[in-house]
Amino acid sequence: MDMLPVASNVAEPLTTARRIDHLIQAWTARGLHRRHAAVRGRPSLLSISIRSAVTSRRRQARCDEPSMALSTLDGALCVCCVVVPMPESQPRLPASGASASRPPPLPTAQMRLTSFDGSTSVEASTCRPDRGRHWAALAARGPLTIRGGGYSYAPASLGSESLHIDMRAWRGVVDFDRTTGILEVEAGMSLGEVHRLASPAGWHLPSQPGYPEITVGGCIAGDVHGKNQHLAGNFRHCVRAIDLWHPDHGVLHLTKGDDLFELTSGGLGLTGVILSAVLQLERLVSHTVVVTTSPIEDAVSTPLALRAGSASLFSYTWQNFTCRSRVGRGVVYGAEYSQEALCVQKDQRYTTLNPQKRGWPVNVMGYPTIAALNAVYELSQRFGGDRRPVGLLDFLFPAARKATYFKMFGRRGFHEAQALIPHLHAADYLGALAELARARRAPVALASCKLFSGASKFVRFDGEGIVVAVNAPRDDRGADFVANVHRLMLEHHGRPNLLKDSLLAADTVAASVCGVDDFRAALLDFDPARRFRSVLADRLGL
Amino acid sequence: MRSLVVGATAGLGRSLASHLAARGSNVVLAGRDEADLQRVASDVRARYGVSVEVVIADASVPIDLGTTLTRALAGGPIDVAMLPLGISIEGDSVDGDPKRAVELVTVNLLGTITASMAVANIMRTQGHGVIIGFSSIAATRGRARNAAYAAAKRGVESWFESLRSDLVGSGVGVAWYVLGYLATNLSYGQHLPLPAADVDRVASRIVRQIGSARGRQFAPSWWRIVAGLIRHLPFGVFRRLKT
Repeated sequence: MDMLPVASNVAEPLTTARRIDHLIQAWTARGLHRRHAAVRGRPSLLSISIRSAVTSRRRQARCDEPSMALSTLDGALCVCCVVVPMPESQPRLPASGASASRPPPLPTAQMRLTSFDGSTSVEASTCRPDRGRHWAALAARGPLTIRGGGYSYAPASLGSESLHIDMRAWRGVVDFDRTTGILEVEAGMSLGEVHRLASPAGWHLPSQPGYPEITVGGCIAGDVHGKNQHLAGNFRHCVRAIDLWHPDHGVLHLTKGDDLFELTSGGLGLTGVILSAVLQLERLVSHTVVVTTSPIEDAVSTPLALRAGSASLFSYTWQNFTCRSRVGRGVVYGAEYSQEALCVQKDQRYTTLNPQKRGWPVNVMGYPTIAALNAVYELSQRFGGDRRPVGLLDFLFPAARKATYFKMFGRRGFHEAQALIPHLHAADYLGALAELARARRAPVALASCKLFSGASKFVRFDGEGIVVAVNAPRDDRGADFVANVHRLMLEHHGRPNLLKDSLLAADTVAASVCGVDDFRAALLDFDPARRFRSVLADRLGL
Repeated sequence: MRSLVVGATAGLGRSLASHLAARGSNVVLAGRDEADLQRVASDVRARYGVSVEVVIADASVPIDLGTTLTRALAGGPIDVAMLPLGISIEGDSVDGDPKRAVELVTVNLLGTITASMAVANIMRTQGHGVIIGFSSIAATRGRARNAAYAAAKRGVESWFESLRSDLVGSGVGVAWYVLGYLATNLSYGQHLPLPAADVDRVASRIVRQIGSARGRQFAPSWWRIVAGLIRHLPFGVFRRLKT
């Protein structure tokens, strides 16, 4: 073995990848199969480029994966490559103890899959891996689309001609330290199962979306948020590490701070299959939460009302955009843990929402129904008492018992537009939105705002400001309203949530999401063949 | 309590292991794929805090399976043994690949026989225990499809009848479940004429009934009616069934 300097102070990953590639090529040509190289630079960046170069060289040279040991030595990153020509090349797979026996079959099924908002439907080929050796069968397939619970509104887990990997059988617990609250689970585990496991031990996920059948892997890929985003941040903040499988790179262990970790968190499932994740849970203070409500007089006063409740466990609004006067009036919800003794919520049942069979036969959400429902709901919230105790399940998963709401839109589904508006423009935006809803008698079935805090990168939905979400039925009137919402969002420097809005056009995203180009370039750098696809990514040109 | 599950890597076996542990039983997990078994072991351990032993045993070499289990179980008494081991093959028909048919019968029938012999010997000596085997609705009546699978499962039923007779008065209980369609990877993507049962529900019921169920059982129980109908259909009608 000898040490060969490749480069010093290299920060550009492609250059490093090319240099490593040339080096391995030279070693192979000279019949030198065991060599060391020392590379200087940021280890996380270099490890990706080195893996990429090594994998690509292996494919071209029909070599077995060069075994690699990455370590730091005197401030340099060392890579040890052992390149051995083999008749067949196989990427590293999840460890298996029975390589000699015949692998268990991985059957596929043909089924019609529909996005949660009803916008997209595909005739899909799906499979459900539940054994380590199933990944070997998938390595040769492509393109691939990953599915968790299938609850992303936009078609992020649908592919037009992909094999869909249903992750829900990959849902075991890897480890759970009940004293530190560090939980490692397989990515197909649902949030409800995490709750059932963690809450008796006095822990909960600090950040999570509102429906319990959503999977952990889906939460990471979407970098989703809860109603307490301004305090807990997006989901990635509670993720310490992930294991990612890619057909060309094998299994990669990524920790917070790695470039690929950053790309995968909110990467819309385009970097590979998240196999497992290490989560840092938060101490549960009580199993009961007291929810408080206070009135909002109109849309423009929303930011002030939200900021007034910003110290609360969560802070979000429900607002009526179908009333004739003071459009946008409603309530702001806050919450605090009950100081009473711990009492586990008895009724843990909720209605399962099947995204494939969601709607009633007809859409009952016309403008008159929506206006009437909004009026009744507003009365119940404004005058139904300003403090009420809520069980933990209802607090963590507010959508769990609201399945009827989604069913009422019928089989065509609904539109949602969700945008993050900077604080500076939030009041103006909400005023303009209220005027738009009033002037067009827009069928706004739901309007809700929440505080946001964080920094955005790539295509993640994150940043400082106020998030405004609106729902409308999936019809021409709803589509026209959402198109105008997009226009207002651009005028007020907003950032759209790609996972929620199926009507977003590629040019709207290009104009409003500043990290799109970086995201596309980083994806191509890691996975030039782009093995993972989705209808959403294809439509937005990601 | 200490329970053995042979074939615990996935599907029903994995779920049985989980439900046994949920009732506080320490578990011994046996199977072929070490990585998958370790995954199940971690899951069971982390969820229920019970002691989990992992035994790598290959049912395609039945004699070795028996000796491996005998050795692994020597550490203490064993109260329950569940044997949901089995494989299925593509093209399982009379004109299929003989090698694969032999492989299937070896695992599904001979593996079950040697595993249950090993367990029965231990339980007879200790004077208590329950052995539970698993057959299939496919074994009710032979068809052109799943020919070797059905034959092996019919053999399992016959073997468990013998086992039950042999162990009368020994303190060891014997039961075998005829399983209907289960929502596992074995049935994934198939257009089945009757609904596939949720594996967790079936496993939960089997574990609940450990103390009471003896002899032949059906899971889900309504498959007893289906089996009765199938058995009495005229041959000319039965052979035309597409299922």
